[in-house]
Amino acid sequence: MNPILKAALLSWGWRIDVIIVLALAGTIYTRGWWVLRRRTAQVRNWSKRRPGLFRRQLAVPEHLVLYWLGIFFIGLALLSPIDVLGEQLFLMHMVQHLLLVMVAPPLLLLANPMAVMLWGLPGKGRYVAGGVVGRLLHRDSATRRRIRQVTQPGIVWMLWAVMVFGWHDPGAYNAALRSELVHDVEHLTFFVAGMLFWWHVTGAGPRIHPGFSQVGRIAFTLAAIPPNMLTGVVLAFARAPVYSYYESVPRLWGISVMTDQQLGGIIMWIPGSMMYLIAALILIAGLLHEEERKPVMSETQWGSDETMRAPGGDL
Amino acid sequence: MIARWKIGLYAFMLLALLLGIASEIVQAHGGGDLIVSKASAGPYWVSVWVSPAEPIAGQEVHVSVAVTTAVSEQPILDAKVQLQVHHPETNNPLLTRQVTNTESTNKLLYETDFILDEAATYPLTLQISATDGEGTITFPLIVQPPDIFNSFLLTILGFSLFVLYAAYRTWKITRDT
Repeated sequence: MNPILKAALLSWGWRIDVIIVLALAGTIYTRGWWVLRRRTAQVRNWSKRRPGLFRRQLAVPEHLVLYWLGIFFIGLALLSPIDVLGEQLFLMHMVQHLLLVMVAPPLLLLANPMAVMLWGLPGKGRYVAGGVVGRLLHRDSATRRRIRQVTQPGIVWMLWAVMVFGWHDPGAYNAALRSELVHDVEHLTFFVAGMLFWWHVTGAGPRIHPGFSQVGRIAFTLAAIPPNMLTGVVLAFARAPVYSYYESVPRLWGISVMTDQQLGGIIMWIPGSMMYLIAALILIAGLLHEEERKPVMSETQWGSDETMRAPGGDL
Repeated sequence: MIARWKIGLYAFMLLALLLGIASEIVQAHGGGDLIVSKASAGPYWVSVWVSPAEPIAGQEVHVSVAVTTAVSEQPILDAKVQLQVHHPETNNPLLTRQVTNTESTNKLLYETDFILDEAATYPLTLQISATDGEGTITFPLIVQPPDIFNSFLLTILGFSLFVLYAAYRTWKITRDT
């Protein structure tokens, strides 16, 4: 193997703070999933005499797999050579952002983490946390109204766009590469913005935006493409290096600063936009499936005089 | 009520632990502030990062070094790199360190740590020796006097005040309802 490639692949940054947070989140979720699954089995046994009363499985294996995949991708983005080499290659840094914003959040949210994690808390902790969450998110709670106001799809989209444009500003981007603390803040804000964005797309709990329709979700998902694509295109077609930091670091595998920047811009533009397009297509498929499941109207119904009459025909 | 306090205390302890660990990691992660960018040292180009950005007297300084070929900028991984810190006035060697990539996070960089006890501008010399030959660079390292305010303790203090305020508010709301 090429010695530089080998050295790069061995460059793992075992950050204990990241490992502790990921292990803690994974353990709480797995425990909650296990508790819920056991309880569901108990209730099912109880309701065997009444078939059809309790058919829904609350903790399905797919949820556990999705959650751990989400944890895995966060770990991959923050601990693996992707993070270490991101300080030398812009394209690696873009791959890292893609994992943190577009891959990990939807996987975590599809596993419906909030409810499951509450079940994962031990004894009294669960009651206290459940009580606090219950009070904060109660239908009549002022906090719920405020959270709903500040997390409206339009505001979340604006926050998302500000994150994309703001952190790709040369000043902010160079500062993130020069300071580990700013770099961590960048990743944290990207991840939070990603979680808020995908919260609306996946419809994960807590569901405090009841008016957001499936069509609205599709439009919301597609609306993420322009800021992402625009930034990617600008970077891919720039005629001079945008981020001075990369001019000062040694180059790897003969990839020049400009080629690196173009590849990073293309990663952001094409695979980045594809992620939203795929999500929108999945939502469209879901919408069509819902339509198919609706009962078919009989010919006598749709062909009746009442139905066939044109609007305003009585006038 | 006691359980809430306990949970708050545990959360505070966990966050303090994470903050403490995170502040250590900033120094051990490699990288830092670039103080020498692609300086010519014989047949090589040398870049040097130092962390923290402003080294403090009596605290650990982390130095990362990148050695590349001057022509293709490919990293050289089997070089022998030696760092010497000289006295600011007499220029006599104060300490010598072998800078290696065996323990470094980024295996493409050479790293070492050391502590300088007094605030001053120290001349540092890096000697690089590899198959293409030898090269040397000298550059200054400014070490600041110790801070009166410890930023880490200030963060902990600020966070403690926040936790106390949050606990007080929770207690007051519970009492009023």
